[in-house]
Amino acid sequence: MTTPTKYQILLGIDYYLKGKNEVRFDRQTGKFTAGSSPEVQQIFQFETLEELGDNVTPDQFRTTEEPAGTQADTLFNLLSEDLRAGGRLDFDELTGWVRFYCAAQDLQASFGDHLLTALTNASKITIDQECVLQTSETALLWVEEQKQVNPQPADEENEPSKPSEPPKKLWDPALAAWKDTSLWSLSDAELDKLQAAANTANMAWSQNLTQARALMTKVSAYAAERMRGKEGRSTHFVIAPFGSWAEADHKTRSHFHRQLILADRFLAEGILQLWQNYAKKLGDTTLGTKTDRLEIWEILPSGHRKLVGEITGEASVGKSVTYRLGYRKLLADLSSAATS
Amino acid sequence: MLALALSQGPLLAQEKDAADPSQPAKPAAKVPLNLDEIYHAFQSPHKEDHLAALKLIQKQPGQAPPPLLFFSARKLFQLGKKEQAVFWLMAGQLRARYDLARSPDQTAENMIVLLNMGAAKPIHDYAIEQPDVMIGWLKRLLDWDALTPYEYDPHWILFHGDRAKDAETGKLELKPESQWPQLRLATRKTYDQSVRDFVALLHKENGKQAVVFLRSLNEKRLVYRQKGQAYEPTDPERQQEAAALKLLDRDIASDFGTKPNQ
Repeated sequence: MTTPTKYQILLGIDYYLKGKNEVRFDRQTGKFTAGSSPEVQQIFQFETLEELGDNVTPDQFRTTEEPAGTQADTLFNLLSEDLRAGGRLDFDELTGWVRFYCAAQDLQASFGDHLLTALTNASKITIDQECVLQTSETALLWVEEQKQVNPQPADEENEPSKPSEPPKKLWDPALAAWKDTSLWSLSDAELDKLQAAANTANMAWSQNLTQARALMTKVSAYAAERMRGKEGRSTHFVIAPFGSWAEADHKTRSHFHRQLILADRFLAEGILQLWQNYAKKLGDTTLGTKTDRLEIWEILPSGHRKLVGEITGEASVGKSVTYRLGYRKLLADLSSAATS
Repeated sequence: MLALALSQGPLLAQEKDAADPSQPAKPAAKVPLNLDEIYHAFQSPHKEDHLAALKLIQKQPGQAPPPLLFFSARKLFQLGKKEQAVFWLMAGQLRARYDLARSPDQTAENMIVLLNMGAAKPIHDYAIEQPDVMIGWLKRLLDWDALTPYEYDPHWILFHGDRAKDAETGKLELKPESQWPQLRLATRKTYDQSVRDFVALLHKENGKQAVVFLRSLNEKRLVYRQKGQAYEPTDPERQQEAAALKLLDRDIASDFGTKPNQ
């Protein structure tokens, strides 16, 4: 039984976008099947994450003429880190990536939803315990919806996620803690507590949680590194209209901060509102660190910039891991907003 | 009179006669371009306001800072005047590049990339599929640039690089004016050659594929650079890659979306 990796899923999306909507994921071999070019076939020669490992390069990732360089680089850089850290299928993230990927190709955000559903159906992906482990409450809901809308056939190899069995049952007694918050926003102490509960409830889950925590630690360091930039430089995330966005390092001031620079006032205001909603929804951890600040600037006809708004984070450094999930969601939505 | 017509660039469709160099336009009154007025007109939900603002800009294009030329191009494109939009995009690129050449802080290039890949992205997408439009405008653009006085404040470029703070405190200034003519000449020459090379590649490689090819080549080159090595084209592709590498060697190549993330 093989679960598709995010990398494979993205390749599946790639197929789909190329019009090959007969994509199938073979759970026995761990491969997608579709008419493919030699370079794509070469990529599928890697069957496991370990094999992918350091062999993955941006060129290999870019299997079609799209996405454009910037997006492909970003996707590759973020995903390869995840892959090397043992990242697996995560529907919450996957949804974001699909939207982001579609937005990067100037496709409507709604197409991303359609695509995700279509791909899932086409790939005959079933939701197993391991997959659900690394998802947030959003994915749990999504899983439940999928099971209701599209019941999976009984699969002996896929125990215990039988379609007739509500997923909730799997997670008792710790499900409550998961449903109200994302794994990414739990503190170490909370995770310890959750793990203790997992140990008594389900050994496999406990093992997976250990893996998930190891992944989170790596991702946390990665996110922090990205935020700090290189050699004391801060990272400015420059998000432009129409879904294209670039990232540039600038000399640091005394703190981390990010800038969104937009050439359209309405878009700038919309994105400010969107970010504020995120800050409110995800709490004070959204912005990562205590010294973190988001500035949104508009370019004026004179060429000068005008500050549209700014938000200051209040979170502790220890919770910077939550930044990742929030940021990815944000990116996906920003891209959708910019292309809509 | 011909010079005046050229200096105005291609106007809106309803002013077709004035856009034709053989039909000289009447001299426009020298009215300072009110950038605030333009800014508010562009934010208006009414198309008429956009058209009025565009007419104002096109009467005094020399007063329009390059970012405004980019925004004008975008508005024209939104109004369906796609070919004119390509001209004004190219005008914005050329003048922004000259301003960057005059700046001691080359990190401000990020802003030009942003303008190209943000505000102007739909025009790029159109232009790469219509290479003849670009090459068709090139000579007229260079004439337009030669004849249209630089009447805007070029200091805007100083506020977008690593040394933006220095610009705010007056510690960063443009290069000495004595160097400007040489820098302008070099910028025009580089721009001219880059457009020609890019269009040649577009004809060979076909639109998006050419951009993807350039990006891919650029990334390969960057990987080699990070290892301290020079990228050598592989034999079967040597000729085409060599030509593309020449294009990439010019910073201006990023204006065509080939180096979006350096």
